[in-house]
Amino acid sequence: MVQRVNRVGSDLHGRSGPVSRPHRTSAVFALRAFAMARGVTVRGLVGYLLIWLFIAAASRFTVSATGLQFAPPGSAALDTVAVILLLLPAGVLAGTLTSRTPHLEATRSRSSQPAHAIWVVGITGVGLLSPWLASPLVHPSIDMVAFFTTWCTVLGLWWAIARIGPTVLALSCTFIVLAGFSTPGLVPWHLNIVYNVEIGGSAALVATTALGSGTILQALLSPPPTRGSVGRCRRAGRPAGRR
Amino acid sequence: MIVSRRLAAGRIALFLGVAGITIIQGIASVASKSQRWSGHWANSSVVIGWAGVWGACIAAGATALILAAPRSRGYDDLLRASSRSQARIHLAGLVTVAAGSLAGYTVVTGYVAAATATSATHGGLDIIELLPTAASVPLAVGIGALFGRLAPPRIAPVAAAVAPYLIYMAVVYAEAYSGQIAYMDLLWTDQVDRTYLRLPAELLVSRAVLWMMLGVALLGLSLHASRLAYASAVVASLSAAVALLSVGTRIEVPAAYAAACSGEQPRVCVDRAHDHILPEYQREIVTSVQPVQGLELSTMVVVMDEHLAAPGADLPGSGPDARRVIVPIVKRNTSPAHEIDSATLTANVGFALFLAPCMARPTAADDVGLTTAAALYHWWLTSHGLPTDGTNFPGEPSLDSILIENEEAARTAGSFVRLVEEERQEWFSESTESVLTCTAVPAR
Repeated sequence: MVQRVNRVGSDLHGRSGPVSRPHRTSAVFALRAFAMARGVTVRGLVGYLLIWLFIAAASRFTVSATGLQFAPPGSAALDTVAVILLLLPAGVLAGTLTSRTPHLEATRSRSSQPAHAIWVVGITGVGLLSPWLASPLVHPSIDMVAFFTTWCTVLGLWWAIARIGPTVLALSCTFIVLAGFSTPGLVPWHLNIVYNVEIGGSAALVATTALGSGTILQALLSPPPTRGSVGRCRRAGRPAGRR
Repeated sequence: MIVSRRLAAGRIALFLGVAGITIIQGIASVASKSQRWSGHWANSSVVIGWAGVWGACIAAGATALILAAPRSRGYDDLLRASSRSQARIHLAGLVTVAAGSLAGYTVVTGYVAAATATSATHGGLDIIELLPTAASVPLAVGIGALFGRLAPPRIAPVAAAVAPYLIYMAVVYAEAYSGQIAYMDLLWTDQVDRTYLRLPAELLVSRAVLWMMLGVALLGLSLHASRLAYASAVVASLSAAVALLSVGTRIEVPAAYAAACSGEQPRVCVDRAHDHILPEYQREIVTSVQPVQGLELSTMVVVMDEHLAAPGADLPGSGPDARRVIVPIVKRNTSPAHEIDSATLTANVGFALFLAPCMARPTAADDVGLTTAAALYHWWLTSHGLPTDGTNFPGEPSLDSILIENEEAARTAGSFVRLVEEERQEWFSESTESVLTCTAVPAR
């Protein structure tokens, strides 16, 4: 069926026969080039997996040595170390959202926005899948809803702020939020969506809002490096050129 | 000129950013635990270290950010080709971060000192206790420099920011899982309460030197200053050896246990470590016993803990036969606290007057004294607008459950509420001795 559709599509473009192998290979090459232009490397992927392994290992410790030992399955929140470590994969994923070759992409004949939006949605999918892939290694007494919502909140917050301001602001704000929730006595317990597993509904609402707004902001707003480079050209008195 | 002006503006922004975030998180961290230090100089000197837990993360992240910038922006090769040493190139940035971090801790120290100075009665800021916090600055800069030079440039700031907290928590876990109290003594900050105990000065100084020199060693390693790194590592090792000799040592402060009493009625006594809250403690006790005016309290001394309630404890102005009623000072999760939570104290006064005497002797479930005591405590809590579900302080029994199980107590509580004020005062004046010995017969 797919071949038929392809054939029809090809005929419409004045070509005959199904999509040829070199054509498909070039699409893979384009995708690879697109990913590599966003800093995706084999080493980076291995590093990302290792970070999740590290988080899963950290989930097996608490300040109380007997904390997880006697806790019923799914009744405990992550300890602070695992929560703070979530900043690392969030930073890695956020690093893949901006192009390293903005000038090159600015010369495309078509707008880069649709491809960028699809890429952001794809990376969001990777972000959503990651904690589920790590879940078999996480301690059984950890509440998976709390684990998942905390991760989504961290990711969404970072992405939303990174699109509005510089990366360092995103790191600082996300870190401050997690540190605030992790400092005993600072956030009232009935509002502590990171460590209080009793308020999973509120935590899920916050996580959905954070990740939803982060993804939308990342997908719809044009990437800042491109804007910045064009701005710099204008400031230097040179025409920015047609985009 | 334009470049140098932009550079200066960048440095000022970096300084203000590091200092600002350090101040905000530091004040938030110490203020959220004010009941553990407010008004007590020894504890106030220690709490500044609590700002160093997240403060070290901020300094490390900022350092990694500026050291990774040449690689992330693609001019690292230019710097490598420079005739100047790496240390000289990065010195200004590193000093800016360190100065910002130190300025942040100075402001936090000022906040803590100002809060304590208003109520403290003796002592002063302990400079030696501040040394480990100051030492965490070079440590954080060293960790940040290492990550800034070695980690992938985009992830370096976040990895560096997380690293000091990982080191801190690794030591906490080591202590929790090994059951040894020694490990956390080695950290740049600790959670040991200094109300009645002190840590030896050699431990504080040696751990400060340990972390400072470790930071300098990491810095030297990152900036290719190998001699500095080697020398610092040797000094850090020696300091670790000295620190390990004194970990786990606690020096008791006997003077902190001495009683300080007020001259007014009802008489109240606290120990010297809490004498800064004596006037407030007196005031709160007087206010909370207003509803039991008929109760004869002149023979009674209200004390804050079991130590002062012991028959051998010397209470100035009170004889050994004075009735000692314990009303602990509890705030949040701390007892004895250095601040008073008014609602918790009021609940504790009611518990001490009515229910505590029943704990001092064996009682059966249907004991008439216990039934009356439960009814009185229920009346006490409801008349002060406090919850009766056992949530006023840790260890409080749930009056709701008791009244459901004991119908007689529920009836007594109801009839006591229906008494008019004069009748209640009359009953209290007749029943003082029986109330304070848990043998009172209910009012009808």
